[in-house]
Amino acid sequence: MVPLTPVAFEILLALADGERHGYSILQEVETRSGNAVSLHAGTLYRALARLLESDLIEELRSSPDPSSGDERRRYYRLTQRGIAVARAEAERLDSQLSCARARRLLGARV
Amino acid sequence: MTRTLFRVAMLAYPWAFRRRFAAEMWSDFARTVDLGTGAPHRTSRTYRTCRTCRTLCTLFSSGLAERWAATHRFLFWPSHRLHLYEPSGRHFMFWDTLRSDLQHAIRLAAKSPLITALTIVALALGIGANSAIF
Repeated sequence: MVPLTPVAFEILLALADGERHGYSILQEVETRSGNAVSLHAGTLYRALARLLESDLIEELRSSPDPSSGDERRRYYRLTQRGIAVARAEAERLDSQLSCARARRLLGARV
Repeated sequence: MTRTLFRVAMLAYPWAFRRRFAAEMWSDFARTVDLGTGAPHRTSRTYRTCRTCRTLCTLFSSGLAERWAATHRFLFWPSHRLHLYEPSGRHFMFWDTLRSDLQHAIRLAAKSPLITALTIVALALGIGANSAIF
């Protein structure tokens, strides 16, 4: 599964806090990246379809917040496999960043 | 009008994808382009129209990409993913069921060759006789 696509990893990161619906994922990704990553519905749901098929995320059977008033919303959360894959991807990126730092490509040491 | 354009753009997606995600996508799309369900309108009408058109174009192109990917997967790896777009137990079962039925029929035919041969002979005689007469 690793390396993940950037969009898939962004979605897994957004779901790391807990369950979210599609629009909430869109907002979270845009807010966290400072609008650097701009998802639109087409990209998001294609990526969600791949993640669902790979059992990295799952759909909740019922809304975690029934008082939200929108019964049609589907909520997604990470599976155990999704957590493991996200962790493996984060470690892979961390290793690459360490290498970049060691070779003075990033965050030049004083 | 926007809803109609959205539906046209969604035609680019495979049917199973629309069935699974169209309602959610419409809800998100309406919020993204501020169709009265999201934040109050703070931008000009022209800007919103341009943004809506751009979003519809990206939706359509994304749909074509998904259709191509689905066709590609089905043609070259027919059993690659059984649970197309759906969590377990709620997937669209038509092709999976048809494939299982055909496999079962072929196995049964191979298991009892005499019955299979008699069936084929009966069919051949029936079809042949009918073709000759009419």
